Amino acid sequence: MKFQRKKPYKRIALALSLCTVFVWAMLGTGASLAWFTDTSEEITNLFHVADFELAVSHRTDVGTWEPIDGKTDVFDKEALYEPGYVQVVYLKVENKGDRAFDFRTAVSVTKNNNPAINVFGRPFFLQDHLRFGIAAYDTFAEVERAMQTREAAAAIATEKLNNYTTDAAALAAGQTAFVALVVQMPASAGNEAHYRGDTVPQVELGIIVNATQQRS
Amino acid sequence: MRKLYHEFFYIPQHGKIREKVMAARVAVVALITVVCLTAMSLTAFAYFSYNVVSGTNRIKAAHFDVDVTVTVADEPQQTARSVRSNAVTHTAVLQPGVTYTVRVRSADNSTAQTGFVIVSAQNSDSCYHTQQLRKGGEATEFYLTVTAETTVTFLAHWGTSSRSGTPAQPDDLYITQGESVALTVRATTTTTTAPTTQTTTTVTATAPTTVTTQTTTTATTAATTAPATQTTTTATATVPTTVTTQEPTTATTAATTTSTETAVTTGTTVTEVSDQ
Repeated sequence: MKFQRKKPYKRIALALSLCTVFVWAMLGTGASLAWFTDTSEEITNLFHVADFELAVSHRTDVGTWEPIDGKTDVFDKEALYEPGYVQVVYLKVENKGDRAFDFRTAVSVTKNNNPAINVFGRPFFLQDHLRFGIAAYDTFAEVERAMQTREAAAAIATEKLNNYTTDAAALAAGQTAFVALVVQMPASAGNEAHYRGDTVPQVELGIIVNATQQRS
Repeated sequence: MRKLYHEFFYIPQHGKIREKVMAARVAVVALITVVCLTAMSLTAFAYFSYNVVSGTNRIKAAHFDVDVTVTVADEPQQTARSVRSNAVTHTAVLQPGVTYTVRVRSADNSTAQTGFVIVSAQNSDSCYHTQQLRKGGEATEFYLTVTAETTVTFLAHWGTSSRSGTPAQPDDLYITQGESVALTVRATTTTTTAPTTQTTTTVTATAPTTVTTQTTTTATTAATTAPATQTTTTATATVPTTVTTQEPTTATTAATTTSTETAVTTGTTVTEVSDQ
């Protein structure tokens, strides 16, 4: 019996069909493109990387502004809180980039798991008897006006000292904002917060300023 | 690894693809997609946000201590009986009919800028605040009398008294420099356990035997003649204890002979006293 090899008619037909479909698709696309497009003058587009830079500094006792880094102590290390004591820290937030951003000021409180002992012999945590507040202003003159007296500053510090983040505030490129952070021990704090013994009650506090680029 | 590959990822050339292998490959593709999307999101976020963090700031508290001295007004060398337990209490046992000079000041080891002292007494409803005591400032001295024997407590309190700054009025329960304070104490039938000597003694010199039911006073007459060794038991309400060896001459101030506690001089912590 003579062996006859089958001719690949099916394969050829399939290939031709595929080629036809492909050519037809190209024709349709090219035609559409030719119909709906037009050329114009050559335009040169320049792409550059956006400059996004946030600078935060705090006001020192002598009135100068010192940049904040991971080691900066913003609060007075020698300060000892007693009823009626109020401390205000001034921050300057600068947008040194060329893009506007939204910034938030956050306070991070590290909870002390070792309570102190008050004069009544009972344990207590200092942070439960402290109050704080954050306020932002456009100019430093406004800040000074708002913090002119101790009572005015204390009026801002009404929240219990705890982790907190402000709402986002917009800052345009090249602009500066001022933030006042107030921490106080209310005058109403009694001997239940008055410690005795060797364990000096203390609270660890960190300040974080976060900037996020605005959506254009 | 080879075994794992053959188990979950191997597709035979001429065999059927197992469901397990298909599922494994689809899962890997999905995982890679998720990882890429996440990486893209994080990269975009890091690029478009910025954080400035300060160092760790430590906020500490102050404390307020006082030095308290209680002496008899007419005889500054004699101090009132005082008790201190665990160095946290300023108390003094005061007798009626005696004017005491009380001197309070901010202790040297205080770190608070100001505070005051709450003065209260056992069996008394009155609770006084002294004027503000500044750190390193002058002491406040005032005079104190009680209507019955009692234990007076001096409690150091930091901060500013709610009674300061108000116009001075009689009975305002606020003690200023040089003021005389009379603490009204409700009389009690039994006194404290302290076997103190009494201010009053009566002795009949001739009979050195037990004498019952003595009442007080008139020490001047008998005291001089009787040198000692009288035993008397006073049945008066104030002192139900046996008292021996009274002071013959100065009967009114017999407390000094048997006092064993030291004076209240140094400022330490205090026990809880209700702040009225």
